[in-house]
Amino acid sequence: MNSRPNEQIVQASNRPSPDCGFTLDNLEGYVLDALDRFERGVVEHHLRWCDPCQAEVARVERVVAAFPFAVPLVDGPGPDVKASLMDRIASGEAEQAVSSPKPEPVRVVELPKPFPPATSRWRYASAALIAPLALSLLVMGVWANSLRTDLNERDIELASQIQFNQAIAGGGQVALYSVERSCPTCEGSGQLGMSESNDMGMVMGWNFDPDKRHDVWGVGRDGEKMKMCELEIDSTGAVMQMFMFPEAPADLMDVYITDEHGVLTYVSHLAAEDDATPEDSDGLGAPIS
Amino acid sequence: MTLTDPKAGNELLELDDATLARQVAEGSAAALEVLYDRYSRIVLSFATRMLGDRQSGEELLQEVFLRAWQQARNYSAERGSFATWLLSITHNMSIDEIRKRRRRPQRADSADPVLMLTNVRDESPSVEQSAELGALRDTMARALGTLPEAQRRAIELAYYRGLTQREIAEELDEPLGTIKTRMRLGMRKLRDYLETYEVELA
Ligand SMILES: [Zn+2]
Repeated sequence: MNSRPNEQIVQASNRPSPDCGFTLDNLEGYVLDALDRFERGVVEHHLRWCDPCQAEVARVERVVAAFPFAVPLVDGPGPDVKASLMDRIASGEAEQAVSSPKPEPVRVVELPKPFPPATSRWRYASAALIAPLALSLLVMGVWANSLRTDLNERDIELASQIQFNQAIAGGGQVALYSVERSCPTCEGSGQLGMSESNDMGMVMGWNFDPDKRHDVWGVGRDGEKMKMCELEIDSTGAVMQMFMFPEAPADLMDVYITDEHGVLTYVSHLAAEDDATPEDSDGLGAPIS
Repeated sequence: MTLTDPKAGNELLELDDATLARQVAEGSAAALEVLYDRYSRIVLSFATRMLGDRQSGEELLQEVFLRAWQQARNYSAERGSFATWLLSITHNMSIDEIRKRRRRPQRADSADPVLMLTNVRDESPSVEQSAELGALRDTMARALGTLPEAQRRAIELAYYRGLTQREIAEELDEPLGTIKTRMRLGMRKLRDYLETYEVELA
């Protein structure tokens, strides 16, 4: 395993995570690098804070690390190969990288697409946030560029995503919450990430019904509900999406996801259970708008 | 190129991999040369299997050691053996090359290299670079021998050709879920086998 790149990411919910199951089901594909980008993103994200799943990954990694030793040996290379290699080194062709330690190529979650603002109020709020974000992205681009010499294309992309995630966190914390089902036929699960420093949220999930519309709402302490965005669910039911909050998340108690009829389908409780609004507990199916 | 100071070279021969890797990180080409002498054959064997021919294998061998030269400071002995690190570089660079080739128009005669998690025990009874590696090779061969063909194939297509599960499903014209299951079961079987026999896996 690579060292955990983003220690400030914490699990804010003490509920059992719904995505250990997904990660454990996909460990082998993950270690063999045979997952789709989204699946890989979900697993990587989960592995950042789930020690038991990390330990399982390590077990599989040990097996894969042994594969090269299973190939039959060929005759060793001739002296000319070594001579050519040492010449290239002596000629400085492959100058060793400068002494500043390089960031490891780390695999992280996929870059979520910024979601277009859903309301005019929302658009106004998000405009003020775009400038610092754009700056972060610029810095990230330069940084990624500096890695270009020794990382492959995908590693650069992924390394950029780390920076992007850090830009979201703004040096602060990203709190993670479970996305919980609130309807009997809902199959989706996932996580909601929240950054308090710049009012950004992120939904990652899977098994959502791609044929249904899903809207994301923030629910304030006073019960006011505000639409954040509509989920973009791909054909496999996967979601990886970023959005911005028009108000400080501190004022938000919950994030709701509703279907096209405004019926509650999923919820993330941002506040501690004992200070949740009564509305939280009524559970299934109350139209919210 | 030879070592500038043969006496220094002899001392280097006594050093373990991690110490040599540290010296490489500090710019010692002589230390790299010692590591090359230790591992060039296994790297070449693996690269040749990955890419399908010896010439490509030899080209990659050089690139792998150049990469090791450039990035030796990223090697950490706590995270695994030097050989494992070198071979994972070899695997990554091979997969990059294989994917690059796949994006190019395929020539009719450019068949995929034979997949190689199979039948390894019959070949190459020649001298191993170390008894340890030989033992590991035998154990891996036995472990692989316990896998049903379909499970092994799913693993091979991911590992040797860099295909995703979805691509494998398309290639074999099987449901994605079937491929996922085969890969999972196969890898678990290997893991359990190797753990049961307490093989020191790198
Ligand atoms: Zn877990």
